[in-house]
Amino acid sequence: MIIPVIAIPLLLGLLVLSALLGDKAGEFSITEKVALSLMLGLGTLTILMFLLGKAGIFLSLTSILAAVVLLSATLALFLGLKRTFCLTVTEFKLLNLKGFSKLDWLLLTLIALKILLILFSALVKPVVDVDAFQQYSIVAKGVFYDGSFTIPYLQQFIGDKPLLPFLTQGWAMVGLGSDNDALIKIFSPLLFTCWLAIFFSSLRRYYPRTPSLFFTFLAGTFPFIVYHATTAYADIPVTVYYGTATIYLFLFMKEFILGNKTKAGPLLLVAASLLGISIWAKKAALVLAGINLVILGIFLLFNRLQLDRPTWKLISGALLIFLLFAGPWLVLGQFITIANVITSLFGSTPNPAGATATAAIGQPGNKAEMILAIFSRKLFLYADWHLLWALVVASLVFFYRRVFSQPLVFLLMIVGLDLLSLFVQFGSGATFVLLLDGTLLDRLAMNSVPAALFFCAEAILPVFFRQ
Amino acid sequence: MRKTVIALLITLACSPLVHALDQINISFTRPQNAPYFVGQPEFNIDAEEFNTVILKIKSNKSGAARLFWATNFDPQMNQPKSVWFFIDKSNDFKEYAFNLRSQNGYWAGYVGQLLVYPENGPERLEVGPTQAMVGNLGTNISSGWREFWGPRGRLVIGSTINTMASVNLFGRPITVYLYWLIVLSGLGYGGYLTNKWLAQKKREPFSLLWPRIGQGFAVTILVCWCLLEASNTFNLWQIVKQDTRFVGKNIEGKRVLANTGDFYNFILFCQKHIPMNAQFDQRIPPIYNDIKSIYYLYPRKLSTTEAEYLVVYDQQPEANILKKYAPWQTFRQGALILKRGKS
Repeated sequence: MIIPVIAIPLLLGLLVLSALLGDKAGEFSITEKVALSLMLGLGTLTILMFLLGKAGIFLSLTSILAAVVLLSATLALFLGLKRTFCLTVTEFKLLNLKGFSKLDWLLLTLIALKILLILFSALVKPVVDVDAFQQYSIVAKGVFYDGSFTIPYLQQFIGDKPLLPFLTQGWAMVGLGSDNDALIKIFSPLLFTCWLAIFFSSLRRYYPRTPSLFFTFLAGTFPFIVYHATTAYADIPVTVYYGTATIYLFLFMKEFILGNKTKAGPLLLVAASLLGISIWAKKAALVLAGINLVILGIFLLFNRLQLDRPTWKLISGALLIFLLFAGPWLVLGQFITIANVITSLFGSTPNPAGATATAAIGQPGNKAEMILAIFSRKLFLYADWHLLWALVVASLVFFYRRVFSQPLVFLLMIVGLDLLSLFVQFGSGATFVLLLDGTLLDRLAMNSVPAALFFCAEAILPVFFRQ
Repeated sequence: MRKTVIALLITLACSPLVHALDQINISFTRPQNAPYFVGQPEFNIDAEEFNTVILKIKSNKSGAARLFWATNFDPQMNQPKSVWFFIDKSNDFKEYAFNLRSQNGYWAGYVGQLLVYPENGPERLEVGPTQAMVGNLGTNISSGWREFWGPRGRLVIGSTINTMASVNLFGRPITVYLYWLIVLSGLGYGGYLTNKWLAQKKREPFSLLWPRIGQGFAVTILVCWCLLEASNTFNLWQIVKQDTRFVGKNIEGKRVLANTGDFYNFILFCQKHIPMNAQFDQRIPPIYNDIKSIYYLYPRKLSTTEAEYLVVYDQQPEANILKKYAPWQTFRQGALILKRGKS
């Protein structure tokens, strides 16, 4: 029964992706398209379930499938009229593993082994992590037993958190027809796999297979992300959606600067849709999406001379797609979430624990020193990220010419602002206490990791493999 | 020459004596029904001088354990003053060396007592005669090896979901040593390239040399990253090995295993007796069974004001609550369901 639980969002995602890419689907590899389809499908399914729930419709397998079929039929009609689909038979025929070196095979095996171990560890045991069952999985049970996430009893568990983790787990239970809380974790390892597939395909556009595989292997090694891929927390969804959205945004900038506006277009649309869905995954994504949009604005400002009418049309389309995905949550979900995020950034929410912690530290100078000390210790001396941040520093020092020029400087700005936003949030807000007790920093820092690794790859690989 | 040889022979003859003077023997006993072993030294150990403890353990099972100590500064046994290690399964006594001074800064002052706490229980485990001694190269290497492959940074614990500690070597994260390696080898490679560059008659611009030095640094970082990943694969393997106990069980069996004691069997008992649409209150000690029960018993909903049922698990309800509820279904003594109104 687990197959339909995956297949339905995947098929829905294929249609959404086809509508999004139109006749530009050939610019994407087949593995990338499958990964994107699952991600877009899950996001779309979440939005459908949210709208059904808000409309007071009982969330049963029948009602959800009816909504999926209705949307799929509309999309299929549109695609039929346009005579386009993102996958072609020729692509499958062209799939071959010839030309793989022994090193490629070794790397591929190591990546596959990691995915298998994660799948095993995620699916063999029930939900065991506290926040997972006291927040997400209990609401999933609400969807399964009561056909709703809006009943008052469940609101204490949802709070102002975005609904993707709740509803995807709820979908898994509804699809499985049982409250099997071992199998509801299926989407965490699958999203992890999608991230690796997209990371590889993105690098493969510009670099040889072996270094692309090597960096993909590195992408699959972060112990903290690997561990989270076996749980039912919200951190993997937000990391994967936001991380891939950032990578596609960067690829758009790269192609735009190279003058390949035809290639750049679909990349921006994909980035916009993934960024829109990331807002459904975790509150932190609101700030992160804001950062990406600001950086996009700065990029366009720097390259304003190249902005012609079709480019403006593309940017408007991308913004529209972003709003189409993010809108239902922003409008019907919670404006209060935005308010909370802003107050947490500027620290106007009274929090006794935060006040006590702040008082204990004393002078603001001490506080800044403490934040810096904890930040650097967590980034450089913990096991979470292996040597990623050392590689970032080495890239900045040795490859500064490339790093501080377009388009890589914009990716650097995104990573820098992501980290700075944590600094600001922990420094001036009520979340300072969460920095001291060590419960939040690593999980929030996780969101910047995909972009940071891609930044390193883009800084280092051209030195070894001249483009 | 003759005098020198005689002096050497005397020194060699005395060395076991000197060695014996440089160690304190400690014997461990297990207090009745206690889940740990306590070691009482002959006298207080000067932590400054006796930096190493050699435990001898015979165990029928492998698993993690902690070695705690009490000092004159802090006579309590607590987590900061402890080291975590793995016990190997062995038929004979096996030596476990700990250079405690390097592993933990709290090995200081005078140590009055040692305690070994095996996390898988003290059954089928013996702690033999133990020594506190001045460490030597052999014990330091053995201690470092055991610390590196120990549970810290490798075993999944509750806080793993929030952060992952690094594996330590001599009390420092392993990454510290790798950073030194990266910097030194990078500088060495950079020095070699710069030397070659300086020797060139017609020098290429320095801006071309700099990224080449960077290549050396990047390669070293990536090699060290792969070494870390090799070590991390061992951790992942530990997780997978731990998870194999769930294989072949149905979901209820898995939940029984994922919980402690008879808690999930009690939940099944409650699910059987309390109607699906009912409300319940609970008296279950924190933490985390009180949270788990709310999750497991859903769609039955928790209510602290108007619940028809009161779920009690190893916690005595307050007297005023007992006036409202009467025992209804008993799972075992201390674990039962009460129902509103008198029976």
